Amino acid sequence: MIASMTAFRRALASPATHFRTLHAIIPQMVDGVPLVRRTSRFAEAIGTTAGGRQIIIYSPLSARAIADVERTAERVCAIRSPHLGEYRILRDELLFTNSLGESHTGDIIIEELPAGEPFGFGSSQSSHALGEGLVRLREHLQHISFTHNNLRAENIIVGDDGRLHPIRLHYGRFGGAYDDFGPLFDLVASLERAERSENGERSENKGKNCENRGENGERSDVVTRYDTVANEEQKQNMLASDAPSPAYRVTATPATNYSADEIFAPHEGFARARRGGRYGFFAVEDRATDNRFGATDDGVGVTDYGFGARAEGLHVAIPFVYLWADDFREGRAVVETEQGVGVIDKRGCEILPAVFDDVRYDVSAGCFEARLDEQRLLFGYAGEPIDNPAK
Amino acid sequence: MYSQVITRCHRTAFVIAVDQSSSMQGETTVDGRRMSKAEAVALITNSILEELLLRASHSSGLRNYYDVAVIGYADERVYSLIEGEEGFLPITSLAQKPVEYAEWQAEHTLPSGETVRVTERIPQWVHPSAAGSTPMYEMLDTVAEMVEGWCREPQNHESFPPMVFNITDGEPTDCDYNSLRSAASRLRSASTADGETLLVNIHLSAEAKSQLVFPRAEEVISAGEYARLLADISSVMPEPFNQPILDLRGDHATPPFVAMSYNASIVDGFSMLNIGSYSVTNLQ
Repeated sequence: MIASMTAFRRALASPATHFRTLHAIIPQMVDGVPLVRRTSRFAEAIGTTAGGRQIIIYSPLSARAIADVERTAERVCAIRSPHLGEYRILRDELLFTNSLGESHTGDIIIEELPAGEPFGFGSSQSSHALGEGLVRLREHLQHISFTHNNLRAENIIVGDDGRLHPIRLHYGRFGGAYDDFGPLFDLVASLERAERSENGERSENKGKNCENRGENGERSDVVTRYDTVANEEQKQNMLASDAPSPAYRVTATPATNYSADEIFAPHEGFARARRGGRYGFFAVEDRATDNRFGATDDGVGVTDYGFGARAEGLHVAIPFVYLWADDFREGRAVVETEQGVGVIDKRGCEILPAVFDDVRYDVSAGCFEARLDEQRLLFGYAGEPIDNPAK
Repeated sequence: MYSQVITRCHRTAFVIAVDQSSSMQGETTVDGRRMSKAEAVALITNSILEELLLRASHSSGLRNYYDVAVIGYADERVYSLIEGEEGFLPITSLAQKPVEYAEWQAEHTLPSGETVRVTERIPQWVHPSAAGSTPMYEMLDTVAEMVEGWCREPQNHESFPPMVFNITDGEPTDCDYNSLRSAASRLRSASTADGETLLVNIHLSAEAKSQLVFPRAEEVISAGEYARLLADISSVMPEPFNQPILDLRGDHATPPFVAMSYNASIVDGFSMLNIGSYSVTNLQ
């Protein structure tokens, strides 16, 4: 059940009764009500504090929003990057009442913000320092293969530790190769011009060799370095564009009687579960009566739901080998390994090899849209390439 | 059809029509509390407006995603409930109107099963009122003209079609049932390239036996004469909304579903609409 934005706002006004664990949060108030805004997929409570720490709380605006960021949240937690803050999904954390007066729970995300200041014109740092910080951040994100996808000033915090910290990580994807630093370097170039103007400096080259990316676009060393590197990488990406052909390999090794760190509600007879940081699937009978797995009364099946769940008597259909896995839909599940993102069927056979940056399953069309570097590739239900990628 | 994302380029329109006739002095139960229907109508209307405002609120400010009209009808009159405004106004203009906040004691059930009362502050654009007759035909006629005019605007041609919420206890006094059906049919036929206008009736009843959102036609049969009439004039929810409606209902009912609720706000249903553009650069 997705909470309305109104319900989310009312929950923030009374955290002790509307959150399972976050009782001590203090929301930012405007006109006596909590400040709530939205992005494309989440409602967000910015300016919230918890025990003196700044956090953002996100509530999904659609049913798919949380599932879409699960993989990112898992990886952020696992890699412990000095540039990426804590970003966690809290299951069933939000307690709210729907239009029918029924009590429901909802998943939320909390993102801890580092102490610091805004990026850009609100920063006390020089444009040179910000530019150098961007270069370091870009190198780091490339190193961990993370693409933010919506890098702009309001999504960057200049930390007291001197590092730049991207926030609103739900835009991001691991495994991406898309460079979205351009607008930030343009902003740094604008800051440089403003600083020069303030200092009364006049460049001899002013008005000459301008690029189209900014007015009177003088580019400092750091920005020019970025331009050169980004152009070169773009060329290389364009060359490496051969589409992989699908491979088929059985990977399932059934076992029995596992416990799991977390078990998710079953879909199509399979319950996705996490154990030791890896995802796999239990085979279940789809007997849930209240959309909450664990409501069985015959002693067979999952006897608890959520964190620390026990799966007594359950059959491990697909072993716990994936960094992340989505639920089965129409017999297909998107999975991620160290090598990339792919698709499996209910026997654990690879339908698409796990080599892509991202794969999205269009259930209604029965096809997969895969992303590899800058390429969009389409595959049919059986993994066959579809010729027209522009479809 | 019914797939257009609601953005600043492809805006949509919402009309909330509020029955303020004397029959609204009767009682009903909403949000677990007994109150007059007039209070319930104001509560639901203000909740819808609050949700619409929140869904347009980005960090860069309020985005002009839709036009809104709030129409009252009672005592043989149809009138705007937003002071100083006639017809549609952009959501950004509504946000600039001064608004009072009222404190409201809501019931909330904790995971332990314990019920607690929580004080909530709710914006009050619309206040309870109940006097006079119920000119529902005239309201439908007036709103039909409004949405037809909105759909004719070239910039709205590709937009998600208007949604009209009629909040009432369902007792029209200015027409027979067939005339009401005709007026509703005209209203529903106003269309954009993305579909016909959706007429959603929110029915408030004195009987608190059940609450329903997006019922199947059979589920309304036992709900009384006026509920059946309102179900009759409501839109049938288009196929793309079937799965979100099932999620909302939490059951496995078989479509089609009626665009109607029974003693319940419909605010949860806004999660079904694609409000808001993607700001993500390489994802669609």
